[in-house]
Amino acid sequence: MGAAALEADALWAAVGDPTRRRLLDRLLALGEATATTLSGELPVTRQAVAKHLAVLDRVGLVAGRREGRQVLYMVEPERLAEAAQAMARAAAAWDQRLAAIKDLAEAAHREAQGKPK
Amino acid sequence: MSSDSIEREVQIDAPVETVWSIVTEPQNIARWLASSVEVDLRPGGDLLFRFDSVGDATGTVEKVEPPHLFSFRWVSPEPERDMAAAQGHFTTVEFSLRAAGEGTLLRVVESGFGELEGTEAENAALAERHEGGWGTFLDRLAELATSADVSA
Repeated sequence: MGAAALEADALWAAVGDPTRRRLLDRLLALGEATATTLSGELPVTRQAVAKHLAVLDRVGLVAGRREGRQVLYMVEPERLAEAAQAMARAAAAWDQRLAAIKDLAEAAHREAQGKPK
Repeated sequence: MSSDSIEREVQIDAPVETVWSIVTEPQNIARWLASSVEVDLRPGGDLLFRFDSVGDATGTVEKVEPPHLFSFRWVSPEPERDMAAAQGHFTTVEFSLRAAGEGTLLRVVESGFGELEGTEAENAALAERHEGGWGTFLDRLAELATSADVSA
């Protein structure tokens, strides 16, 4: 399998999870935050937040920088836009499929009625 | 209805039975979805969609209630998505058909994008708060796009 395919799937899986989307959402609102701050705002433990941040970091959706004993995280907006596009593409694919179903059904119906368009 | 879903509908000038055959018969599905299709059309039946671009997608039939309801679980095909690596990331697709005017209103809902990982407790807590859905996420993204120069 290609590296691009692997990467696309990792990105998809990273934003498919609602907790991680919520984390991204809070990070966008806060600008920068530590795992401790984020766990205070979400119904999940600091440990779980750290685990999710690691997943997001791995696919490039967030970046962390060390400040003293803390790590401050922020969103990488370009990467996030790419992820959101994956969802938009799935919706566009259904629009195309429904349009094709409509054409096929209407053609079959006209044929059954014996009056070609 | 979960916010982790895509919902689309279309009005079709054909009877419900005709639309049903286009949506559920393998030789017809092959004309609007995949290049070739195998479907065992009963609850629990296997599905196989062959896509020229992304390879094979497998799934399972969930509900079959002719001519109004058809649903299945699958791995949604995506450009550049490795279908083998994506196994386990199932979503549910549900078609519902109802007579409307002289024709049929066909509705499709693909859901379950939010069930891909995470613990059940986390997902339940989030669902309870009606947060973490794609709606909020995309709103925030739109906000970001207008307030920041993303290309910088």
